[in-house]
Amino acid sequence: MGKCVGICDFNYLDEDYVAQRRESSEKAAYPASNVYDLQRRTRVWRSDGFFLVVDGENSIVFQEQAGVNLTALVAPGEYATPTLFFAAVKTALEAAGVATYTVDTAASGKIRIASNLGGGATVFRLMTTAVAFAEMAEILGFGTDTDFTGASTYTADVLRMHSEEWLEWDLGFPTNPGAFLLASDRNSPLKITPNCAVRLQGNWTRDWTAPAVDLEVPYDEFVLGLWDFTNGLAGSSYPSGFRYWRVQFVDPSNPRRYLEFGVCYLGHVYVTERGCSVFPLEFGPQDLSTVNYAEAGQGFGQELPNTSGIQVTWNALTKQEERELRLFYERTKRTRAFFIIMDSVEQEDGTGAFSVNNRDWVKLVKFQTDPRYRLSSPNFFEGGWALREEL
Amino acid sequence: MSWRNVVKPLSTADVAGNLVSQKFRHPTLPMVIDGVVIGFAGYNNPAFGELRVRIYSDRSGSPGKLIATSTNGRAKADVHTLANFMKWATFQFDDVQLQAGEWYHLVLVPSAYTGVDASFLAWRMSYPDPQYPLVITDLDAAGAARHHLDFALHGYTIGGED
Repeated sequence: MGKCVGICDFNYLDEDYVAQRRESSEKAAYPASNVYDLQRRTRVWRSDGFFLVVDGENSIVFQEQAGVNLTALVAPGEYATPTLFFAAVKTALEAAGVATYTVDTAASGKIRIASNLGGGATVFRLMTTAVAFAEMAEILGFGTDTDFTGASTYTADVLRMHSEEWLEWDLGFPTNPGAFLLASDRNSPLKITPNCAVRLQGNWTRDWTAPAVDLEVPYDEFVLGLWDFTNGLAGSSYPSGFRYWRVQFVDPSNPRRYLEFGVCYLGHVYVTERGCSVFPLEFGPQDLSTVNYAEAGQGFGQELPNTSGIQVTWNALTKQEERELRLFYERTKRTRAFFIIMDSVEQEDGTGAFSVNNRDWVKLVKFQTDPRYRLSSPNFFEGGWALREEL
Repeated sequence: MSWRNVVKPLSTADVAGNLVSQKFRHPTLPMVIDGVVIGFAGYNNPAFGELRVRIYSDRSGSPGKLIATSTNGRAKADVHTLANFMKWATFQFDDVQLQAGEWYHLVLVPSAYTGVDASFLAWRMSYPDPQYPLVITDLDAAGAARHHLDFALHGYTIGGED
């Protein structure tokens, strides 16, 4: 495995270190603070529905009298809940027209706009084919091929649970992290769709219009991640990194109607210089289920989740490296979870050095037993780690 | 006994705007679609460039907003060399996610197409037996006659809401 193993030893997002953490939205029972607790990967953050309305792209064109277009301007801004966004749309419609409007979601989750046809209004038409309506129609989920006419209530064509979501971090001073990782329950896929666009962005300021670094995070079923052991995620052009970082998600038609993540890591990666983890790599699944046998011999299983065990063997460690690894264990002990990137090298064909998908080998683990080291000759240490994947 | 068509001919107008579509849904689970198989036929060497399939949302029983177009097209030369034919072809999609219980429409879209009585493309009907129960398919409100149109989806469902 050589130097393809990275130990994620310092999460810059820990409350003790990060200057400020912000999130686009959160459901009250699933706050964003959950995602920074590496000890409980199944305690999650769920998005609530963030809508970003930009000046110049905020027009809703509609009619209350046949043939007379009205334009409602939704107040530009960040709306951290659907309720706030719907209230802004209602306010805009009522400011431009005379009827009273109701903006909510149908049972399907699609946005719905209804007029009471009051105040002298004779019709309610959404003129989605109007050019000025294009951006808001996209945010709301209304198709723009034909106008919506002939009713007083219109439900959007497609689900729009947000315009985007993000987690943003102010690290206090320019920082160049080595790895970014997002994961959730070990035994079920991430609750994003394959079309979810995920980007890691770094910038000197909180203006995300054109961030200095804008990296695509490739989709994976279980772990989203980027790392660069050599130059850091800010790249060789910005070795000192950036004060502000954020991860942005655009997955507006997610049928679950929320995004969910359990753990998030943005931080340092320790990679040994001379010493290395060596083959053979021993690993295997661990089924935590128990089976009881009846007197007649039938087996009755109590099915529990799977995890896995991994044995990492270190060789040729220098005295500095042995000290680093030893001190790392002093901090984590057997009680604290950490990420280990075991197959960091990606081949030209997209596979890892020893795996089909190297994201499979980003593991959230704890030490299962105390590590052992042996001084085989001066400045040459050997060692062994027994790790167990966290659930 | 009267004659029954086993296909739904596509006229020029059917392709230009009055879309012929097949409604479908999964009644209980969200789906991710990465392919659609369509059965179709040609009569008397119909002129067209290539075939693609589109997925639309449902708006009062008819196709509403275009959600996705197949990433691959089927050129005429790939489809047939005979004047009269019946084929099944797979059209690929880039992981289109669809909501549980919501209706969607499949639309077969030939480019550079002229469909007239003497020469046309047609969508095969699911005749004599419907492929799917009515909780999964429904008759096309735009007038696809009495039988469902022939299709199969490729993809997977994702777990229920929790």
